[in-house]
Amino acid sequence: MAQKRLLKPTLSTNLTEATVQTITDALDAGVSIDDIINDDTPKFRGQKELSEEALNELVSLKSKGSAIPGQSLTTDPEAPYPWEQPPKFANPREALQDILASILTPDAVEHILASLLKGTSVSDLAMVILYSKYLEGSFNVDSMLLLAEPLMYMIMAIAEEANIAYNIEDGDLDEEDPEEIEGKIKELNTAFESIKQGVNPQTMTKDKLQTGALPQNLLDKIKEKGPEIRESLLSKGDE
Amino acid sequence: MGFFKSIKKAFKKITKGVSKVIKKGVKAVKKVVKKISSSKILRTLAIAAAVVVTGGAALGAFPGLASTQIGSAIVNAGTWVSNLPVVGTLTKPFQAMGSFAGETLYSAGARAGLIKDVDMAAKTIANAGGQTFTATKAALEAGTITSETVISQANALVSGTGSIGTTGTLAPKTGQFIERKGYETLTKEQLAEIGSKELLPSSIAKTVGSAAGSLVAPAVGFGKEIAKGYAMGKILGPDEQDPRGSAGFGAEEERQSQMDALQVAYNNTGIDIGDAYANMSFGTGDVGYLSNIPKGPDPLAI
Repeated sequence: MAQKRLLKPTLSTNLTEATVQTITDALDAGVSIDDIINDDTPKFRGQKELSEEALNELVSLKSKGSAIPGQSLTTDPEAPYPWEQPPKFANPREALQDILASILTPDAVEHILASLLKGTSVSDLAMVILYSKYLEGSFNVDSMLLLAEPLMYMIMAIAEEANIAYNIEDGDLDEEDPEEIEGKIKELNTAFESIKQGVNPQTMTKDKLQTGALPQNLLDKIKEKGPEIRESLLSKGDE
Repeated sequence: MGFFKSIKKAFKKITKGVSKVIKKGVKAVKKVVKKISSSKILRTLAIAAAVVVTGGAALGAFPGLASTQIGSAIVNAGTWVSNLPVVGTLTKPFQAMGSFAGETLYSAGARAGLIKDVDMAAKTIANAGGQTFTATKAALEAGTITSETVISQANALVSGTGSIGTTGTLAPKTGQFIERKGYETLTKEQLAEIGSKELLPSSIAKTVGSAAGSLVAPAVGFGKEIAKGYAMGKILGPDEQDPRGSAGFGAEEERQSQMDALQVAYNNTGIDIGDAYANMSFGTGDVGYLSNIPKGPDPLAI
């Protein structure tokens, strides 16, 4: 179907909502998504790989210990940490542009793709990127939280471009969609219902019976032995 | 609980919430488009969101995704933006930035072995000014051209023996050819000027200063504001200079006449137009979708 009209301008404080609005409007305007639906290129599946090396690294990091409560109060006020200073970007829009500029470089994208292939979730990746930018003093905590959604979508788009099946949250790639399961159960129930209705003796007539289900020699045998077959024990029988 | 621990906890909560919202979004689209698997809807959602976030530039940044019908339709939805006076003339640098981002994404995918050789080759031909990526793909699907032909054409271009784009002084290595658009050739004088302007970080300025003739290093950090004004004048040419001068990165706001067009969309959603810059809002009617265009820095060859 050809596109009937241009899309209406959409606006929302929530990216998902804006995107859903845009898609819904696009579908209403006759934009086809067949090219996405019919694309059956097999995807690279993100899979967790456990390695001894990584585990050792984690153990060594953990064994280094953490800050003593109140340690931050002992630092020199004249030399504050980057996150203790005014942020580089006060406006989250500019912060987002800065992040996109950092992640849309060949090296960064390559690392992102490698992480996704190793099963790292999109939310974990977003957290690492935003947290490290926060530590650099690029933006404040509030902006960091605001940027989570757009950044997660950008990582998802990178993964889609590279044709990777990714985890949005840890391990959700292996989870079954409850809605799909429900749909399958519904389908099964409907099938059972139709079978039940199909064998209803009241609706069953001789002309509906399928011929050829039993081999002819077996039918002949039944015919031959017919009179010998006992009637039901509950039947009235001859009195 | 320590400060950082509470930040991490809050972040975990947010990302969990976002994941839920994404799944809800999938369900919402599923209501409209029935009998399609959730993964396909998620793909559609990711494409659309990338286009909405980057405002049109995603068409270049994500060639595979944004060349889909819905991707193009969303980008075209912002054409009313480019029809506005002033803004319309400023869309080119941002488009170039988008396409540069696309190159990086594409070459990274290729290096990671995730993108087919034939797709890489098709991109190369498109970048060299030949047939567009989508046209080559369509020809491949129709069977009018073979993958081998496309790859050999691209290799010919890269090695400098091809007929398109052989005028450039660059000869990127095989396998990295699609990074070509990330390069620009500057004269010795231009390089000296950049080096002397102290616009660049000292490490880069040093390299620039020692370079002779043309600069053949890949563009670094296209989003950096460094030497923005210089790049506008020297690389894009006088016709495409920012008519408002080169204000600091992000320091500009749209003029009232430009904001008028947005008033309706903002009113309908119950957002005060005055808050347009203070809040994160999204969509094709968003000021961010508009302001991305003139504010976006250009791909600078440093």
